[in-house]
Amino acid sequence: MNCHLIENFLQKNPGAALSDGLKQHAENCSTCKKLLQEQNALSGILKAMPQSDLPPHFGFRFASRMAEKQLSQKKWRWEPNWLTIAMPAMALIVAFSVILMRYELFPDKPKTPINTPSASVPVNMTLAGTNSSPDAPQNTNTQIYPVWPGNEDAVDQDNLTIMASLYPDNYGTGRVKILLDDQDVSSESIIDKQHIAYMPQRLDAGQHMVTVIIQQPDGKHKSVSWSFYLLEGRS
Amino acid sequence: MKTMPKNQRLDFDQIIDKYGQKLFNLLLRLTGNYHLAQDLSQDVLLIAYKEYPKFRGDSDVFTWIYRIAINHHRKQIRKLRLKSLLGFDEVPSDVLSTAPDSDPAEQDEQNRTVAKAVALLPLEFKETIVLHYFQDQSCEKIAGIMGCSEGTVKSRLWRARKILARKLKSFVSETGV
Repeated sequence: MNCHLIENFLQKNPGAALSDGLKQHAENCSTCKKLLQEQNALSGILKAMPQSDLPPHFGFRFASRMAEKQLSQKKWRWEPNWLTIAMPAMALIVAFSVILMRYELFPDKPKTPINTPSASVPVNMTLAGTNSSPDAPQNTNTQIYPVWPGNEDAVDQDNLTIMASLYPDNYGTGRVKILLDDQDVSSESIIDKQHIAYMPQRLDAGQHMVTVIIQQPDGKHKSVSWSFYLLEGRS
Repeated sequence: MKTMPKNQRLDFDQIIDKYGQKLFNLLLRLTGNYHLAQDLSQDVLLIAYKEYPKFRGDSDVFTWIYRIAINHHRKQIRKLRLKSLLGFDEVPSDVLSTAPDSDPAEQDEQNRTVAKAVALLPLEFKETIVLHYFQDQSCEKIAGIMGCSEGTVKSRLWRARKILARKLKSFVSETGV
């Protein structure tokens, strides 16, 4: 009843044929006979399982995936050559030259604005009433360049005329506003298409902030702010 | 089977013609999912293509591809289980361990039941049974593919057979000699 002879053989020799002695034993031992029948039947069932065909277009799909993979690998591969080094170097040289030309070759041209956040208009500021010329170029944005006092300059009252330059020319003086310490002083200023000038009547010593706001032809606002220090005793 | 020369790229048309069906059937029995088996077969061939230059030629090419297939399937199962566990993805139940229901070849009731019983075996038992009975691999080769001893393969084979004999009792006694 508890014979394990065939079981031990099958466990150690899967698929192997039984010796004559074991065959004879299996004939006479009911436990081993039953186990052998069961295992033979199971092997038959497993081996009879059908093989599935490859799905249609398997080869084609594989070829497409492989091509895709090769393409993506090629796209991202780093291949150092003279161009990959020369191009960034040339770009740097060009950028450096442009900066040099801007600051050194044209000394008469005003310097780059100090602070040029676009569209930073105070909430209560309205730039209405444009007087633009009909032949004005509509797509050129005017830049604001502080002229005097320079940013963080220290000046005395005698020399105090606040000036900024507009370039290219601004068409329509109504588009420009000048604020001194957040007070609109445009009406007391001289504003033409190239300049803004304001001469304060009385100003306390200390730090002051100038803001010039311009409405561009595209409707957006551009502002430039800079500060200066008014010296004591001369006001 | 001959080992491919090392300095040569795999000829995939030849590989697909010769072994594509076997590879697909291996993964079909392991996954129990017709479409997943197709995707994994293609993954395996892509991995083989990429890794072929590293192939040392210790075994024949198809044994090596079998090994890639087994490892890739295990990796996918781990990934799917983890996703399922973390709730990132709803993993179809048939992908993890159940019976194939979309294999056009399995029209027959008995075949479906057998496929289901095999698919529900613990992973290592299933791999052993599939390689031995459905892919005609010897215990020695299976040991090489699965990276274990021949004794382990035999033991797994026997235990898997015991489970299957119990699950397929009705078919086994019908067919019984």
